[in-house]
Amino acid sequence: MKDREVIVKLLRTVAARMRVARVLRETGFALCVVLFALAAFELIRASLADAINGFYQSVLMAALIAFCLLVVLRALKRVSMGQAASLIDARLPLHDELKSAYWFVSQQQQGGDGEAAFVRMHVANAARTAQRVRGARVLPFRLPRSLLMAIVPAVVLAGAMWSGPNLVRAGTAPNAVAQPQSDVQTARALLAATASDAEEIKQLDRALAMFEEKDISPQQLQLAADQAREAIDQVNMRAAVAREGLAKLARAMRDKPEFEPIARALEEGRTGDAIAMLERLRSENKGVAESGAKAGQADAAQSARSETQLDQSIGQSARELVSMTGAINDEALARLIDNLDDMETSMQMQQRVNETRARTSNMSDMMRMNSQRSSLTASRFDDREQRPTAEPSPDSGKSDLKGGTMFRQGALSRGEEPEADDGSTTGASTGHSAALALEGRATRRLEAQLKRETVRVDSDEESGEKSDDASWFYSASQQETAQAELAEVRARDDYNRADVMRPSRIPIQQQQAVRDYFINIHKGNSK
Amino acid sequence: MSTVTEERQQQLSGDVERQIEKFRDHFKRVSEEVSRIIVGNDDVISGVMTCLLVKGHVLLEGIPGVGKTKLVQTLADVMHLKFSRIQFTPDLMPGDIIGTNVVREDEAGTKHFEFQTGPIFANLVLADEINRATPKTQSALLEAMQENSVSAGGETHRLDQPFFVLATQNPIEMEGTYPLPEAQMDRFLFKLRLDFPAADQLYSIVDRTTQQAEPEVNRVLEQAQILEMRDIARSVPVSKPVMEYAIAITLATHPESEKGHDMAKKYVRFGSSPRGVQALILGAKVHALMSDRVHVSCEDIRAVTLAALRHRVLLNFEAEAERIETDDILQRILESVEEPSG
Repeated sequence: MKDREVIVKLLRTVAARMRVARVLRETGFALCVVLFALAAFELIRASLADAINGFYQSVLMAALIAFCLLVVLRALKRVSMGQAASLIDARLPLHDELKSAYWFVSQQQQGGDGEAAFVRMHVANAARTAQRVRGARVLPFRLPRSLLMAIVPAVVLAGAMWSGPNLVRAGTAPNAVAQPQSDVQTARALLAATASDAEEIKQLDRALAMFEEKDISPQQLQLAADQAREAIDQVNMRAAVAREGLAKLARAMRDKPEFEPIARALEEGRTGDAIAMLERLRSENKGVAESGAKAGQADAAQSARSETQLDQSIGQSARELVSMTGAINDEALARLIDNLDDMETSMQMQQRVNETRARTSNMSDMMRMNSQRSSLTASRFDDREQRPTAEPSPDSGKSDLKGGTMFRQGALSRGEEPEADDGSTTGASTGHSAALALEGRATRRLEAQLKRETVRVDSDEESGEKSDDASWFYSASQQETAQAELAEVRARDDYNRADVMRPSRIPIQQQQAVRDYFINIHKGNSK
Repeated sequence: MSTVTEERQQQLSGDVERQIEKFRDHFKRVSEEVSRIIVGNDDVISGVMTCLLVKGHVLLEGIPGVGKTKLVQTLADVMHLKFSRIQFTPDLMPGDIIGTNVVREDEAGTKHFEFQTGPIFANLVLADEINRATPKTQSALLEAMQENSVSAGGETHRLDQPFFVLATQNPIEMEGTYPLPEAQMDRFLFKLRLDFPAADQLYSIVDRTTQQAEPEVNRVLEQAQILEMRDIARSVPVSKPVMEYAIAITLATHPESEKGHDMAKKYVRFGSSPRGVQALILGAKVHALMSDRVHVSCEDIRAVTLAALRHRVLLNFEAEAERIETDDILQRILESVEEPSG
């Protein structure tokens, strides 16, 4: 009984190890196959991007899942004690000692006295052997070769994915569409923080709100992106005017000794310090503080002035500074402070908008990628891609390329006026400008169709003038005539043959004869 | 109670160990003694001994002069058994082998039939050139080999044990011979082939047989000891997986079987009989004992497969035309049949 336990214990250990080894081996095999299939698919998709669509991907995925299930079933198959005994016998080698002994102990078979004694001795010998044997020595765990081989397709797959176009990779990412939504939300929050009622900010906010909508067409998305970009450009323009105005003011102040520290602060970009210094200067100038404050409030109400107005206001302030002699004009000082406030506001707004822009540009990139992966292409409304010889148009820039959305988006925004697009033949940024149909692409060379036939015209010798235009004309060549006739005969033949297949089963040439025949019968019957 | 059982078991185990040790000792001594006369062919000596120890008979095949008859004579000398030699010729009659009833007159003048035993009544019978006798005479051995008895004149006579037939045949001279019928062939446990000796073996043969005094052998085994060894050999246990392996090999020789080997399907007319499996198991038991084991392994089965099955597989015309031999087919079968995992 003790011998039996020793043998069974060893066999159990080895059976467990065999199962683990099998799982490892099957996993390696499955990994190898799956990676190889994915790498092959990735390579094929990279080379035949148009031909491989989602259907093939689904089929591949289904096949791989089925394969993996099969492998799992195989891997989890039970390992019998007999198999474990066979393995030990083969590895050590023990000449079937354990296999045979396990069979005897599992059968509990007792023969005659002599044979039973032999069996007992055999089992005892096997138990002694089993005590010496260690499961780890019989079946040490090591990485299966198939798992190492899986490195090769893994490298190929990684290489294929790395070298493949980013467009494909970005589109395949499951969160590729979800990402812009969150970006839009943070961008809008950023805009709200500016607390400005400028028209550009409102426009930008409207555009961003459009991005948040779910049921929106790619064209509307594109339009929203254009509007957003336009608003951002406007804000940038105003900020540029503000910076220019600050420089102008700094130059004007530099001539006045009392304004020199303020000018330095403005040059160094410390607008806030400059305003504080000006406030201090103004408070020193007593008596007119009340009226200056009122004027300041009135100007502050115009928080959203156009860049032209801002430029004019700065120019006026600069002129007042230059013309200021002796006592400081408090009203001019108040206007200067207001202008500086406006400039600082513009620059802060630009900063915020630029942050928004960074997010918006990321998002619009994503949109562009998505729109390119969608079926909506620039050639959607044109049948040009169906034509046999798709060549680029001689009018460069007008050819409607598949996937042209990506290129045209960056080209030019649609202008409000038709003149805004002057100087560019790119067309609308949505990329749907209709190019002229390419003529003569599918036709044969002119020389093949026509031959020049010269007709000698007896010209008036007296006039001495040659009328070249009247002396020749084009006519069909013999070859062309023959081909046309052949085509006609073939077409006629086809037509006749096609008619045989009509439900009436009567060729068109014989239809009249048949009709006449039946009419005559009818008439004969009536007689 | 359990202590008594354990003591009994230990005692039995001790007896078994002693018996096995004795078995191996006797076997080795016989082999060594025979080797003093027979040069080389150790596996043949071992095969002959195996057949003797599992109540089988052996068919020796070899060209003339390789020592077939000498081997049998030496075995008889070593084992102290009653030995008789029958030279098979075309005019040999069954009665010449098994004996015949003769009329005898006793002292009172009464005549009666008395069975005069033939040469088959011996422990060790050498049927020399068995294929030279007619099938009728050959079949006289059938009952003796299978039943260990002889029927003559309406009476059945038991043969003394051990009864062991060693038949020899010459594979070259086929003219004027009568190839053994399948039933007769099947009676032999092993068919052993004596190969032509190598150069160094030839040197030893010449050295031993051309001098004034030829080497002599000692009797190392008595009749009773042989019978005891037979009991020990048959006691060796065989597990089911090993039996399944032997059966799989046998089935692979059958062209009509689903488990038949491709080569068997192409070249074999009839596969091995069930006696083939018996021969495999019995031969493997002795092989296991001589390999210091008390259990039979698949390796033992493989070791005796050629000897046990080569005469039981009948080839078809295609095999003969392509000079395919049964050993080639069996070798391929051994390579292809997998060991059962248990």
